[in-house]
Amino acid sequence: MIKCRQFFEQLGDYLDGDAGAALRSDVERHIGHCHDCWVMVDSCKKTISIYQSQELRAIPAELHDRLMQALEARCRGSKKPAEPEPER
Amino acid sequence: MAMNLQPAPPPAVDDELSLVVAAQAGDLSAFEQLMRRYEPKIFRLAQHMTGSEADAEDILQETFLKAFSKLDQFQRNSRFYTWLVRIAINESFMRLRKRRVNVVSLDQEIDTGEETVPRDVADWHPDPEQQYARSELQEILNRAIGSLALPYRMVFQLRDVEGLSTEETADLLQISVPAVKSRLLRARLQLREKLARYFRKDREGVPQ
Repeated sequence: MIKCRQFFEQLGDYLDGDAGAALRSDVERHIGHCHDCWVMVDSCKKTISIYQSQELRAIPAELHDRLMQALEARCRGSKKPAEPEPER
Repeated sequence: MAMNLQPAPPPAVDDELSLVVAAQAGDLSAFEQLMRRYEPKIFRLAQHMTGSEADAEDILQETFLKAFSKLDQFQRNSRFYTWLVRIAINESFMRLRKRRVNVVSLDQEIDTGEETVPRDVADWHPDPEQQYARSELQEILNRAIGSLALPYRMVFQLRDVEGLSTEETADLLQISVPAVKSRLLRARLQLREKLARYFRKDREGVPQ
């Protein structure tokens, strides 16, 4: 059975689903017995999921309108939208 | 101009491509539709990157102005959103440089001195985000991600929040795939450590 240190080395791949079947089963067997490492997996998964499910806020209408006005002004300034700019 | 109260659902790819083609031909309303889809995400990205709402507004504006003027450079075989993210990340760098935040060491290994060895190993609440009001939760999450060192913050934002692949993230930040993986794990471990006191089952001692 793998130890906590080896578990840690595999944690990233495990969370991303990139661990092969054998490693995956090693990790799962380890966290079935090691409570601290189980908490690591559980809390990392929840951390990712909380950020992913964070509600997106619509931007203020006036900000969108200001941006549209700037774009319209740029369109009036040039016939084509594609206007090459020097790379920084 | 009326605003959508909720961000648009994820777009169908071919629908998006036709909007991009129309925008490249000079159709401003097609570009506006693309903008409406991605404004909230680009705004959040910029806010997480800079920790500032005012900077995020400027970055949002610059990102779309630049995208519009460089539309002819967009390769249609890549994702439009990834292309926008690249512009927004560059704009965020410029903004951070102006604030004299050190962004030069992005391609080097970093030692922030922050422990990634877990200290708080208490069980988390089964449904942690339900413990907080929406605005309070948003503040907790913004503060936690904002306190990560920039190289970790960027990798976490791109991989776990924006959903870019490891390879896309490596390409965008010009670092190696192993560097993305190792930074991502450190970022996740540091974040979970920072969030543990808010989301653990037993929340005694959490500042209100």
